[in-house]
Amino acid sequence: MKKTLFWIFLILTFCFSAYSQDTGKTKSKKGKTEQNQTDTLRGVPSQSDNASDVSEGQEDDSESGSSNFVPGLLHSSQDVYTNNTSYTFSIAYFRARGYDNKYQDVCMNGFAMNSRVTERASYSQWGGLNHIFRYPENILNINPAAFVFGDIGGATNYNLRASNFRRQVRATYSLSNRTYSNRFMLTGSTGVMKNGWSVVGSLSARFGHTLSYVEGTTYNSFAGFFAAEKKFNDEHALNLAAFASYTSRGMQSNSVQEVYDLLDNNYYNANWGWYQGKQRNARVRSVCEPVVLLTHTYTPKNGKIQVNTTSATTFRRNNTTSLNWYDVPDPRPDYYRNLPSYQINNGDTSGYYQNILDLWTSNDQSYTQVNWDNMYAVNQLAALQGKRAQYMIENRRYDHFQLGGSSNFNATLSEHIKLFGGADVRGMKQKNYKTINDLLGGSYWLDVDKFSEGDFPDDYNIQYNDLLHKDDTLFEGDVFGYNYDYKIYTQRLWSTALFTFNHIAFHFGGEIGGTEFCRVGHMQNGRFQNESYGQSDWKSFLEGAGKLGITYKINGRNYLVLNGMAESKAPSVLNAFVAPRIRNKYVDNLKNETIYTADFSYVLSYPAIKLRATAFFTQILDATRLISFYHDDYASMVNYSISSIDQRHFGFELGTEIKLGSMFSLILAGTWGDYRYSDRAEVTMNAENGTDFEGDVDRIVYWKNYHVSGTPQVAATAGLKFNYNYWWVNINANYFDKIYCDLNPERRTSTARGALDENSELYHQVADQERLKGQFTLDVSVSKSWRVAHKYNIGFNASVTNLLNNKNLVTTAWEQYRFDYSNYNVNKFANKYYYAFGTTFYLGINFSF
Amino acid sequence: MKIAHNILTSMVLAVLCGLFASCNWQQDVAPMPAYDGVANTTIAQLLAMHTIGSLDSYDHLSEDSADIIISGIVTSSDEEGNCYKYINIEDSTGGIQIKINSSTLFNKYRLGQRVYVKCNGLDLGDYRRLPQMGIWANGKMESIPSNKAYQYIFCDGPCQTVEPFMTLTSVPAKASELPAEYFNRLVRLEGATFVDGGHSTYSDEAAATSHDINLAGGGKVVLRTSNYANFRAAILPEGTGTVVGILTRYNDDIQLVIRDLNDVQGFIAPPHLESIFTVNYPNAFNEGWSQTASGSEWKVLTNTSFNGFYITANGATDSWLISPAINLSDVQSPVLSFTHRAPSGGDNTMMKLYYSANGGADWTEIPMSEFSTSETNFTFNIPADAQSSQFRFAYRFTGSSKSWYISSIAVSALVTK
Repeated sequence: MKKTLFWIFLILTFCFSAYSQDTGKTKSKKGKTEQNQTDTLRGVPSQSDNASDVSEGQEDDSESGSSNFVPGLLHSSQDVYTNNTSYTFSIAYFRARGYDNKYQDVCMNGFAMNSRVTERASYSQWGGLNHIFRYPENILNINPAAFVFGDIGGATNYNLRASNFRRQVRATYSLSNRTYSNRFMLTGSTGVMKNGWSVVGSLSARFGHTLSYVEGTTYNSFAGFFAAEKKFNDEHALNLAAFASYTSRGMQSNSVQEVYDLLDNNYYNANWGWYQGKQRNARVRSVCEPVVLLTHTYTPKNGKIQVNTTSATTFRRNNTTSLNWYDVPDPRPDYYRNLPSYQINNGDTSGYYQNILDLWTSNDQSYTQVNWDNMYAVNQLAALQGKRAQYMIENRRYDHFQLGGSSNFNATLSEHIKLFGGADVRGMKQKNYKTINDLLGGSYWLDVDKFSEGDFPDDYNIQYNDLLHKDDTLFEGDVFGYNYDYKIYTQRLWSTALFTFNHIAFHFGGEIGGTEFCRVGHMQNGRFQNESYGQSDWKSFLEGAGKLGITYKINGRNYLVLNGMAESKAPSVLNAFVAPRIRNKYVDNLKNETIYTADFSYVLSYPAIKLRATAFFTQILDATRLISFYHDDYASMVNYSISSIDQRHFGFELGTEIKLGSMFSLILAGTWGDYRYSDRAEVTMNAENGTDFEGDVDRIVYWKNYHVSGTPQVAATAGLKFNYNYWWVNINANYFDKIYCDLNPERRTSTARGALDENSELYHQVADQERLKGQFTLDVSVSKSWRVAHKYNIGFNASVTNLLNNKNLVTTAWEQYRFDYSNYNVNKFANKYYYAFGTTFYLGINFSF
Repeated sequence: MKIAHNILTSMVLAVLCGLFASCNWQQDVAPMPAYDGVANTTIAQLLAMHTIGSLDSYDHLSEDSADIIISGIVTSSDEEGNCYKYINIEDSTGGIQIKINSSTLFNKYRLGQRVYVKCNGLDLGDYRRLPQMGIWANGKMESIPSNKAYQYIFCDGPCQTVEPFMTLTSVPAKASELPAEYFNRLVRLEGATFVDGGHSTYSDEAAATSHDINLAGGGKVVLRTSNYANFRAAILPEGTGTVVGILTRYNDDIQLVIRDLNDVQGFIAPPHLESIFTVNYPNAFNEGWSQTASGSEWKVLTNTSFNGFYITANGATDSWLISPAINLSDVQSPVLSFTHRAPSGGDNTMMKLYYSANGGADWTEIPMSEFSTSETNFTFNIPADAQSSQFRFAYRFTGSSKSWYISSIAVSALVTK
């Protein structure tokens, strides 16, 4: 039934989009509403794989850098706080108000790009296409938006209508020592031609890693964009936009401080090793997600309403390679057993310890980096004996196909009343599976679970990941391990009304929606033979949200703004199953996440001084999270399903910009936040293999008042801007503090505490949360543009980030999920860190006409 | 309406939070584990579920029968490696050893921790008549896999101070003559003496080792120590003291297992003689020995069969061999000892021995007897009034022929370890 409704709606949307004939003229760019709009360009250090969702041994690192930032583009903002902080704070992986990226809606022509699986929009989808994705419309936090209802983290819309791009040819070359060395971009747009057509095309290439800040991080990215719009008449226009960005990059690992100190390098990358004279990275992420959007714009002649309808399809291919091994030592060079501390913990301070210490301190790269030759040798030997391969590179695939449509209207009902509204419906299927990428000289692979084998001598079947193909010998390209789909359907209907009077403006609005999902298993797992294969039950959730806001204009220069929002969101499908890789079983008591938030701002707007001061408060209730890791006490991979996660975020934001004469401006901006878990969470733990749990184990995580990680909670910048004769110079001094380590929930359970005395040193080692030291950075950027022959524009920009080369700013820190129950030695599986880069530069030249 | 209310509440909270921004919020503390249940069986009642026979045997505690839940305090610790892969718990009625396949149990089942054990599913048996709980396999009691232990054993509350449930000053000859409830419990042995005290290690390197403990009140207990214990190489103390440990048995032997060396208390070794003065013969005359010779002189002889002084008179002789000054002011019961050989057919009055308490100003003769032409030991208890810092002794030879050989000269005194 759901599906039928879905298809009917989709077809209707599509027809509506396509059925337009008359010609017309472009409606001018929407006037921006209110003062709280900004150009954030945020989220660029894509944290879609943020540390807290990482499981042991499969850390997915984020793009450690801010390569997509182009200073000098950040000028369209009207919000004095966001405008002056979004770039300078990005080095510390700052997240506004401590929110996860999933709370921000990112739209294209009104169609939200947030994946219904991860709930996040992935900026890599349009990576490199900066010429196109330059001027988003940003709605800050919980202000009302015209194109989507919006979430607590704000909303962004990119207008991809070809008529939105004026006639121009633009070329850019950039050179950087961050993640890639070179970037070329070329864009051509026709503007609206006499025949009503507009066409835009853009190409981009980013490549080279000779200058890359982190060793072994190869980078290749190619992107293309095409849009064509036909204005049929004054009322109807149809736009087709299609783009794709393929990026393949060698990833950076994260390590414990012991390793960084041994090598005196906080940017050590354990992922690569020498192979045939070249650096080969074992973890390469390749992403490509083509997007096609068909948008119909309806602007009736009365000028009172605009209707945008977009139907879209996206297909994602996401692959991350990773080492896999069977019955041989862990090949990762920074595995804890390969470190000197492991020998000390075992009581050896001479023989092995000294040998291993020497290997690290002399940086013997056959030991401190991936030893490919050894893996090939082991595999080739096994192959000669007719045995299976013991090492290999696997592909972890997350591919999806999405089809959906959205329609938004924007109506002026009277001088005082505006009404926004819309609908969105979509369906998505994501395939999750592993394939063999490279057998590394081995002959074949068998799909058995290394943790299960031997634990259950009575049950021969239990070791197999797929009983349907249990005796298959597998080769490169074959699927193994796990193979399942998520199917998700969502529907949204929303509307917001805005009222504007002399001194008072207010708005209210609501959204109602639904989410339905299920899992489809394609393997019959030997451990869970009856609940792994086939389709699970469908789960459906009713969702809703409401917004309310009042602006009081004291006078034309002073405003008071009070905004509030409440919402109830379906849990993510990622957290809905107790062991999604192998079981169809849902987490018990799956329920919606509820959020209440409000902020109160004072805004001052004089030509010489702009200021915004805000206090905000957000309460998140019943969030969920699923982590999986190797549990030493159970000797098994376990899935750790955390529910009832409550977070309280409150704090202050201040942005000021003071003009000092005609050329200089002084910037003072910053935030002080306090983001904590406001209550205890519940955990249901189950084993994926190894141990035959008798049912699930329930625990309580005692982390109330511990800090939420993932961002500095204090960030501030003081800057000076200079602008004269097309010269722009920015100097910013930044400070970051209240950076907390992400928690291992297990360490805050009664089980881990045991009978430890609350005042003992050991208790505090186990239970206390690490706070990283506050750090300063300094950034400088210069840009200049010339106009040549009244026709050609030449622009140059250079930026140096972290000029003082501070290499001690931790961007991400987390406790490993493994915990040493034997000796309570928290340093056995010590905290892992990513550090912000030291001094990096970015040079660019632009040419346009 | 509720939503609107919540939004308004949030707005108010936003303001309030500003006011409370400087509050110091207490970090959450996980409570100690607590068992949600009660013990319905005493350890004595549990032990009664298995009859100990002449061979090791077991009884399975079925999952299908009514819950058997015992509770006890952990008295063992494997921190020092002596209690290997088991814990001992006891209540007021008895004790039981529970075998778990882990060698680091002390962090999980800490000394003094109360644990509850849901016994259903486990096997209750005995090893050489010592009750054990675990999983019976291959004809013996095996350990519970460490990743299954959580299904049976539950910690509860804080650790308590663990005291021996009783003090034994004597034991009967056979373990079977002790009450069964004594075994697997922490006891204190008083008036205990290690038969091998002072020279043997707690355990040999190769294998677990037994050492007898005699009790002053009668009877003996076998101290059983693993060769994996960290204190294995320590020397058993001499003397008499107190030993705390877990009382076990091996058939009819009564055994004791200590957790660490703190369980061995109050042993004071008896004072014993220790040399405080010896002679380096080849260099003796440069190290304080002197002589006043009239006639033949004292000489040093060192070879494979003799190390010492000798004198051979060749004509009328009256020669003194005088020791260096020895400080005896701070020692207890000093003894002078040496070995000497008298000439055959000689006049024993030729050989005289003296001591001086004032560095040689006044000499007192030490009467000697029992002269022999073979090597003879002589000892002399130095009187208290001679214990000065300037004690010397001297040999005097008066004769015109014959020889006197003296070796192994030493002054010893009683020393307390």
